[in-house]
Amino acid sequence: MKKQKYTISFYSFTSCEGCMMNVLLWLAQNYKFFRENFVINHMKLLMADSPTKYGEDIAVVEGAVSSKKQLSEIKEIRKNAKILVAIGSCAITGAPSNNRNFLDDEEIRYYVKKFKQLEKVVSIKEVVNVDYELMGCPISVESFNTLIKQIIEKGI
Amino acid sequence: MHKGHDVFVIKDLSKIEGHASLEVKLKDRKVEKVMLKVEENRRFYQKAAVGKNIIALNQSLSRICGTCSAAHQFATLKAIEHAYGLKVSEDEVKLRKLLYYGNMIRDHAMHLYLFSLPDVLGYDSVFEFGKEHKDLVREGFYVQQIGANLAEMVGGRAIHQLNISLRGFNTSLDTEKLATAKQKLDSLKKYVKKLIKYYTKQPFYLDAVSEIYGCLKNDDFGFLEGTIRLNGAALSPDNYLDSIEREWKDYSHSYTYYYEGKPYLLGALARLNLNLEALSTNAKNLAQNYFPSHNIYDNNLAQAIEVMHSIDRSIEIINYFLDKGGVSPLMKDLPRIDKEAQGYAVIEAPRGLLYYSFHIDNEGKVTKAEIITPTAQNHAHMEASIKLLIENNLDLGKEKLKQEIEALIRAYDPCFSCASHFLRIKWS
Ligand code: SF4
Repeated sequence: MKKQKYTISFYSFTSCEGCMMNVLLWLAQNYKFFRENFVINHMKLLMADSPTKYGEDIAVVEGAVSSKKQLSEIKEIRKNAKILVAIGSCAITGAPSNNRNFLDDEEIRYYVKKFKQLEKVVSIKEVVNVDYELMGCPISVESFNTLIKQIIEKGI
Repeated sequence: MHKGHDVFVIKDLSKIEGHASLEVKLKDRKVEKVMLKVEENRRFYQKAAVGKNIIALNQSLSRICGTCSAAHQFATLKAIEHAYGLKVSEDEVKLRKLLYYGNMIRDHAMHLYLFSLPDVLGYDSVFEFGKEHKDLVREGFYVQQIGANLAEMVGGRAIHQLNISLRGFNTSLDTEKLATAKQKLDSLKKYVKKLIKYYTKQPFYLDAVSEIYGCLKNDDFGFLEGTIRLNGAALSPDNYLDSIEREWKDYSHSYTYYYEGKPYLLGALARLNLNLEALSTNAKNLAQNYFPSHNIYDNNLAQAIEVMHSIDRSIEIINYFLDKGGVSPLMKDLPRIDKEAQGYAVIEAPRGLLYYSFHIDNEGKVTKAEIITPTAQNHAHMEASIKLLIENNLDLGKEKLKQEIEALIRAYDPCFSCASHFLRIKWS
């Protein structure tokens, strides 16, 4: 019997994408393992189209939530994913992508209004239920590797 | 495209860094407007720099961009060093370059193998490579990894490096580590040669919309030093800003830049066109037949050659430190800050000239910061190229044209995650 593969997606919210850079390095180091165990559903960095919208076994999310659009997107992701993994400080605390929470001037207020931003930048953790979190700025490749393997071992 | 009004939209461009979308307006088979919209949510690093002390500023500004974090750190340090006339020793400069070459190898390899090679070979993504190209995936990952390892060995981490600060370069490397790194770098050459071959045979062609190029001119192609050349003029960091014009684009909520009213191009192609003589001999030999080039897609070939160059120069620097018996921490006292100062720096980020300036008060706090990224400067050039591409291919059919446009945008290797933290409002 063919081994069952899990679907996995990688989403970037408001961030420097540094955590995703390390995910790419993880992918590079574990490519064989990855291909044996996973099929990617969404990863804008490497693929143009997603086979299906949302609904993956594991959704890996980097970045903070700063706009209304992002807020509804993360909720959709959460609703449909079996497991949600928040990676990096931005996703877990909002910082350092939440500079504007500590600044206040006309320009920021204008920006928030005009571009349908949330009043304050929030973390993924503040707005949806997170199954696993991995801290770091950026996350380390090794601990991401360990976490993913633990998740598989536990079963999805 | 048919007669009458037509709109053409690509949502969320893929295989680039950051978020951007494109909207094109046509009328009677003429392109009326090309709007490349940066859709990144602002993180206001430039604004947040104000009030911060300069001591750890490089760590904060590193977070502007994950992939070119080292560029933001070095530009920060160099602008502060410029402000206070601080000297950096020759060995420290060498270590900075070594770290930077590692970053350049990782960053370019990621773009070339994972983002743009699928376009060249006719695949949707790197996961779809057929049998004859499967090796390239493994090789791409390997080149990227060795670049990351080098940056990590020297800088403490591959991304958001920890060993660099105003206090010097805090790293120690024994000869064994250096020798292993050298051997690993050496093992990349055959793969990079193969990569360069693929890019010399890439099928795309589009004439640059303007032949105004900008880069640092120097004698080692080291990315961190040199005099600025923009359309032949020699500029210095403190008058760079006066030499370019900026225009606010409301649809993208970002600035675009012009030189004497025309778009200009920064990045690997510009560097190869203007500074080829400074490449390593090996890289120069590989490049000679192909540059100068005004084909915009040759930007990727130029990047591939820069990977080879970075490998060569890294090995030279490693040899230097091997001769010295290794690297020990190069630490110095913090500068004494008791007066106001202004500092400017322009370096080559992977994607082109990165401008930094700070005004600093007499306690070492930033009172004004200005950061201009290469992707923001290339924005106008990209839009003009897209317009040209569409006009040349009006009968191609929307799906095909869409693919071609995406491939063109990717050829610039734009990085929208850092392109746009510099909101200025045009009040209407
Ligand atoms: S946690 Fe740090 S490295 Fe990760 S995305 Fe946020 S700023 Fe970048």
